Amino acid sequence: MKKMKLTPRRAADHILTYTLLLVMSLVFLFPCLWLILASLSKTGSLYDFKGFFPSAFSLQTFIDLFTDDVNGLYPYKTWFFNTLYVAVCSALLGTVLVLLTAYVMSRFRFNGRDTIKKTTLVLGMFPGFMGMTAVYIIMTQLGLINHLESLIFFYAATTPVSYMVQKGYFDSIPAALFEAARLDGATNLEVFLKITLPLSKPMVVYTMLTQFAWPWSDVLLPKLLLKDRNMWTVAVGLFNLPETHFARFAAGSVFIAIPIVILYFCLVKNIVNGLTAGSVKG
Amino acid sequence: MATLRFRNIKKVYPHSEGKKKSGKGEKQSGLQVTDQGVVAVQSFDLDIADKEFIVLVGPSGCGKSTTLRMVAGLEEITEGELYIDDKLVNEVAPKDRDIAMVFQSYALYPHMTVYENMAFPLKLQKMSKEEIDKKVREAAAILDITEYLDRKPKALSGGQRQRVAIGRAIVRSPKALLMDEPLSNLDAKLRNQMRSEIIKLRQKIDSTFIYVTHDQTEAMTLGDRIVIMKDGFIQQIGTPQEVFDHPSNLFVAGFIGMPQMNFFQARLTEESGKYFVSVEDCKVELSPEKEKNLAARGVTSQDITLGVRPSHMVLSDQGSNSLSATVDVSEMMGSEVHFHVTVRDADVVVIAPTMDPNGNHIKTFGIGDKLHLTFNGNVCHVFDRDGKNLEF
Repeated sequence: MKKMKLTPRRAADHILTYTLLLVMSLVFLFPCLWLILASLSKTGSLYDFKGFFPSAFSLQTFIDLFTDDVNGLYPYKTWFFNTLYVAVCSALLGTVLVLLTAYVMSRFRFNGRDTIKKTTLVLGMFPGFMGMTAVYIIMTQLGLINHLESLIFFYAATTPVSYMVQKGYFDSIPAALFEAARLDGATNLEVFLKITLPLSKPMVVYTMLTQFAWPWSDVLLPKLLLKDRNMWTVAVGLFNLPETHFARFAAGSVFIAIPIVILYFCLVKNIVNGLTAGSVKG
Repeated sequence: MATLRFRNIKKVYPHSEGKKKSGKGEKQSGLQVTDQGVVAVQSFDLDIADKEFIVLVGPSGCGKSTTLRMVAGLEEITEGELYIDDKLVNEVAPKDRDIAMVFQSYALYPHMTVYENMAFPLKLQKMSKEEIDKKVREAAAILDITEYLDRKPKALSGGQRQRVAIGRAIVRSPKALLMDEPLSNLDAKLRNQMRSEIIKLRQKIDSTFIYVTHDQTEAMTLGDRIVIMKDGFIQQIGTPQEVFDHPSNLFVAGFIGMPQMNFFQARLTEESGKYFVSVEDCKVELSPEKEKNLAARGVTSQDITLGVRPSHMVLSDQGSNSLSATVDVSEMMGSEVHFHVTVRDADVVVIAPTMDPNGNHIKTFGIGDKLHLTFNGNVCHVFDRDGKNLEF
């Protein structure tokens, strides 16, 4: 390929583009970088910073995070496993529910289907915290306050409302495949398990990731439903740290980000496939 | 192996919401529209014998695929009764009907190999592995796809995929094998080849076939009997020869046969028990058999539409008692020539041989040449002005 001549105009264009890109990436990356550096602060206090950055560095905070819970005040390990438990269970249960909902809405015609479709669309537009009072009262009635299961129920039960992406994906699978399977002797469940699911791997992965990411980082609902310090999730715990423990906060944030970053990097190809496959028919 | 009986089957597609109040009786693509919805199929009565090969044929939207899908159980039957082996199956689920179907789009499971595709229905029947293997390999041998058993469908050509789709259908020896335009995604050459393979297949497996197509050639070559449909109604049921020789109405006459039958505005006259048809200056007496049929039905003199097939038009030397025509297009097909000619205002096709039996070339015509045509009284078809064959 012939190289394009670099005219002054083109050069100016390049400089402007790259400057803009650089500034934008700094805006996005700087907080992350700052947080990582802050987590490595030796003294751990926000008041000990030299300008933007800590004066001395050490890995001690990360070690303290798991070994020193300050007399049971900040049991990070417990919070971490609480979060993991909630996020994994919500992801599994939520994925099953949202996939089944999307499948039914995509493949079956029944009375009230249109009404359900419209209602869920409208309901999905309301922000989640609008129902907090109701959620609190219901969980109290059920005796689930201070139980991690209350979170799992909530996350799993509310996700099927946003089934549209998955439905779009199922819609794009030719109807003849389902009909062929039914004629071959498959029940509805067998069609779902043996035909639909294997053909929807990217969508299953995408759904699992989104179902995992929300409970993993949510702070509002756990704060509302979990009263006991040992029941907290990481997000709630970190929120309750005083600013003198800033390095602990930073280290906790960095550590909680690691699993989800790894997960995303492992599955990013599938996610991209899943997103495009769901949006474009054919 | 199965007999099928259709009793007054009707299929109505309800109006979608918001469209309910549209005018009733209004015609939309020829289908009847009622308060309940669009009537896709109605008054469908048919008996299919064991191991018979029935072809449903008609233009798009005539209800042939809907009928097939009702047999499969993929569409609900609005009214009427469908019996398979004397058992009413209106409410029976597709999987319990013991029927297999080959789809136009093949509908192979893309995540399974050819072997797994064919084994799928058998696995669902909880058959033993050895038995599945035996049956899959038998079917694969019949269809000559043994070497592709380990491939995924996307690594196969269109023709091979269609074989796999047929293989998946025949592997469990269904009572009836349904085929929904199975050849229409293939190119012309492959289609001809697959058509003859279906004929061979039929001799190898014991099954009742119902085959849907819009291609009259497929219908004529494959079917024991043909069911010609239009706008949801059956137009005629008969063997290929019957519907070709005795079309019940103008639609069937025009639909069956390639090139299409020629139609003339003509006059039928009855003179002391004899019947004559006259087009322009050409007056021809009908054959005794046709005269008998018309007389039996008490047909009187009237204006008619006369149908004559292109191969039944005869080039005539004489100018009198014949139709004068001008050649518009002449298509050389090798053993015969198709002349597209104009008779007054009507377009007419005439098929003429290029050689006589002794191998001598017959005089041919070029564009703009004048010629004279006639026809025999035993091969023309007489339709009333509503399109009904007067002999029926």
